Amino acid sequence: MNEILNLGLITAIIRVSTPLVFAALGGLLTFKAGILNIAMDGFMLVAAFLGILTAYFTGNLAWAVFAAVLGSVIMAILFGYFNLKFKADIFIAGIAVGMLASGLTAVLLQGALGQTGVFASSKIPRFSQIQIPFIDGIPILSQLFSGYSILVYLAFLFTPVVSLAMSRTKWGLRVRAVGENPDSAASVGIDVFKIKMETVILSGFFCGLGGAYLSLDYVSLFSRDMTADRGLIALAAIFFAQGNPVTTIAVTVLFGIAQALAVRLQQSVGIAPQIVQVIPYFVTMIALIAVGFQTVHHRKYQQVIE
Amino acid sequence: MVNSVEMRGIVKKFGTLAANNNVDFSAGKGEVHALVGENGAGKTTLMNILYGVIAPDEGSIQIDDRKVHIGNPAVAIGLGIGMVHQHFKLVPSLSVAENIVLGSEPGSRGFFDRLAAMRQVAELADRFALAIDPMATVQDLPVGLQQRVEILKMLYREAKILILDEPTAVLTPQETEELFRTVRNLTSDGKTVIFITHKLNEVMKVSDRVSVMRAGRMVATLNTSEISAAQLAEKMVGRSVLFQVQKQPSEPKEVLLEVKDLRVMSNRGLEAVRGVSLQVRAGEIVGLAGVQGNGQDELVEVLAGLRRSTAGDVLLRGSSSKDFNPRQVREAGVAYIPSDRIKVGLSLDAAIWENMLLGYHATREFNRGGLLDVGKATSFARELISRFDIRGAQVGAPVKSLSGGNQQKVVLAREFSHGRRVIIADQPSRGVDIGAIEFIHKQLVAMRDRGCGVFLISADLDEIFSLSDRILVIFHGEIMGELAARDATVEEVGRLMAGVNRRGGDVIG
Repeated sequence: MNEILNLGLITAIIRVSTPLVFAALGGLLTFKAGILNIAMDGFMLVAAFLGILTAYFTGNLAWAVFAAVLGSVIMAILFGYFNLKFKADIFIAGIAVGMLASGLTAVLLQGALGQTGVFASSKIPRFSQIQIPFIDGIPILSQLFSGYSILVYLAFLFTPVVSLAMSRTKWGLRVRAVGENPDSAASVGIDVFKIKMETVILSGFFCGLGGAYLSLDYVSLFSRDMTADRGLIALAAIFFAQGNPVTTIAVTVLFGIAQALAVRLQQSVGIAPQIVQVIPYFVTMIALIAVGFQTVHHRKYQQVIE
Repeated sequence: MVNSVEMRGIVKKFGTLAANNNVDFSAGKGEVHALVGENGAGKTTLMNILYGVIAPDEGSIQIDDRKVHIGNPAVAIGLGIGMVHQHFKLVPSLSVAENIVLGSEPGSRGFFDRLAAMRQVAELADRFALAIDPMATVQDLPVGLQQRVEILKMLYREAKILILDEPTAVLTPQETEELFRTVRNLTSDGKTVIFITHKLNEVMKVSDRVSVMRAGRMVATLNTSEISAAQLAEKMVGRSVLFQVQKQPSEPKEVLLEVKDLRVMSNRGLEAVRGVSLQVRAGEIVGLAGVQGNGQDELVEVLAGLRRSTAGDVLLRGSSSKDFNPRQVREAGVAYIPSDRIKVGLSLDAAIWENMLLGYHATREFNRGGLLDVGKATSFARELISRFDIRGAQVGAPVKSLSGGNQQKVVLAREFSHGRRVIIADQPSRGVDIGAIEFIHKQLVAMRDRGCGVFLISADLDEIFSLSDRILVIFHGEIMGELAARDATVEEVGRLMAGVNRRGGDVIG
């Protein structure tokens, strides 16, 4: 049992949760603006690929992250234009962007890097591990919270930023108004298209960081469709939390726990990997069922207080 | 008088139809100016042009004697023009204060100063004597207060010209009175109020001047004190209108529809109908009055087989129809005119003959050898088109090519042509012009005289009073009282609609 539940598990959870947190932050903004962002896997996949590609050719991680974010944002703009400007159904737009990302990265993987399934190279630099000064000497704390890459810290630092932006800024108020009643927002002179597009672009930004983390830090390789539906899982977390930023991040970490535990169980107990791979989806499903019950219960409660 | 709004030679064409045909309109500073006309007369188009929602093809606009070009609502707001739309433009989950300041929020460096917003809204409410709690969530407010939020929203933007688009459609008579007081407060403060309506008694009551539109043209602008409601009505439709439908006293016979202690849940899981009992007899029209959202929708949906009740029973000619589906309800002889013809009553893209066939498509009458007998169905539709005077109708054309009034006639034609005995008419004249209203009312009375039982649900008291033999009033899912139509007064019904307790003798509990 000790092999499963130890400090290493916490570290694993944080590392597994990071890409989900990034996707959730991006998805939160579009969720609040009333957009069902099912294209985040596409954004992340392009980012993951461009990250590896740029790192391989330049040997510079800063450029790699920049390229990843840029690629993801471009995909996001594409998605936003399909849906918001050309009024394509959100599912069609989302599927189109997803397929484009999957196909494009597969083709470029072969064309630019000469690989069909997976690309890894020793030429790809690794992120340095950041040691947090104050807790460096303290045994457990330093093990828990020190030694991650900059991206991991960014993911968790952006959480309160997004939360505050939503609740305390004029922009956040407008995003919420646009999401709930676009007509109302438009009638007081708010540019609905602009606000929605801004949230889509920001979701591209966060997914870009998430994708870069996936390929450059989490595994240091690119493989086809490596996002493994993390965008959709993040979306499920958002629905579960009903758009509350802090709860959303808590739920993504919960998903992270399930996944990290699953990997550990596989290693130590020897559960079939097929079953382990099902776990994140299974947990997501349970979470959504819980939301359903919660909603029904809430209605009954309302009725009682009336 | 100083004109704060002056619109000259406004032309707006949609295709070949001139929604506004060389319209002149002006409103003076500090006046209440009523803008009346039938649906489709062009009032809303004119005001949307003033508010920058629609660009005119020709014409000029002056605000405070300055020529302006209003390209979008933001420009209009900047010029001091505010519009309260018929359907409120509020964000339900935000607070009153947040809704009011939205778009021009207080605060610095991008941050939203919630406290300042609350304070400003409280001050504003105080100044115009419009009491409201700035912290309340909009979705928890009654409709009258939501409208108040809309008005405050305009005042917050320092609107000098307020356009109110059919503001009383959703209010109780008491809330309407309060709105009128507010309107007078505003004009005494020097503001101009443009009041769009088709309720002539309101025009007489609240306006200083009135402009009448008909078929895209401005017919007249008059001082309200110099004209009667009947003259106004004549100008609106270009002929005199029968306000009171001619009908004989009813001779109610056997009970056709009986509702017994019915309880129904709303979509939100709340009890919307709380123990309603009522009877509709052959040969009478029973009117159900009430402000929208007091359980009428849920009640009607149960009667039409579209919703399940949780308790109680519905009897059709004495036998239970509990849990009938819509088809069974129809087979039991119920005609249903839904309040929303676009969502429920019609298939807009389907042809007129197809719409007239809906619900009978499987009957032996219209089938031959397992296939639809199209010839028979279209000739049947042709007959209905002439019988119900559906203008501009080609059997093969989609229903959406018709005007609202004629679309409603398609619903009526279908529902009234198969020997139904029970008629459930939910807001049958909603969104149709006066000519069509008259026609629909006459048809309902004719069906009554033929021995049908008519259950009329309407938020429009004029309609309730002019058609009903008996009036029931619903409030918060309960029947507040029953009145014989000939003894009932608007005040009494209004009190019951607002949930004020029944009062002695003239109300039969």
